[in-house]
Amino acid sequence: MDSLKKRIMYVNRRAPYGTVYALEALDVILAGAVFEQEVSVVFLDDGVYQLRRGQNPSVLNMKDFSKTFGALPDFDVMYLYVEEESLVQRGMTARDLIEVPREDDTDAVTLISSTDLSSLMDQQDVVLQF
Amino acid sequence: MKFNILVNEGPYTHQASDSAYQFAKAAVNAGHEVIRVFFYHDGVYNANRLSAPSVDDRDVVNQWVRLADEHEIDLAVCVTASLKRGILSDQSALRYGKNVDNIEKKFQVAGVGYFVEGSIIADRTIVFGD
Repeated sequence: MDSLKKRIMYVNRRAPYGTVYALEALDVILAGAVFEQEVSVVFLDDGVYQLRRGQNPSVLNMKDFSKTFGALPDFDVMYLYVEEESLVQRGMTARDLIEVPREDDTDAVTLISSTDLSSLMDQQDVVLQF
Repeated sequence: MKFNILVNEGPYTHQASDSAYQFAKAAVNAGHEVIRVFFYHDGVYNANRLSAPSVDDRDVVNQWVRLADEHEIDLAVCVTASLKRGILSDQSALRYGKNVDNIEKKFQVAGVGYFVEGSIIADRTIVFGD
């Protein structure tokens, strides 16, 4: 049945707060997990802020949903790709990001270059941008 | 070809809904099939039957309804996105003690997984947003 699975890539391009897109994109990823497709999630442009370590949005009356990313490996989402260029442009490094441990303790958060990301996108059946 | 469409913005502020409508219309006129149009984020406002645009303007809500009637297109709004934005079916209005419902009947209420399922069934998923 694996050959019938579709490769679905979710592309997060917006900051976690300020608009609802990031939060509601995460809802789509979680709800879509029931279909057991090959899912990856990408953080691009301001989307890299979604994985920023040490968020405290309670002062904005918002929930810190970055914790929910930690549950994604339980939903068979094994790769959270962060575009390196976006990270660098915002003065951040991998150390500024939360860790999302898989069952084998490796980190699902993976840096990827813009070039590699574009070829990865090319291999997808569905690319959903939020 | 089978198309699955996602509309992420409400009518009249953003062009996304108009563009999605024009796309869907062009697709069916070219012999393609639009299996589903899913409304998410502020896109759920496209289902507001209380919308009353001026007579010299397009009626975004009704043009969706007409297109769906003519070509048997499945229109669906996200349940959680619509509830919090006050887009209510008769059942939801009753359940939450509101004195009015405002979903145009042609739109069904569904979980966001319904959209993901559409992207698995369809050959192409097209996202219309800001």
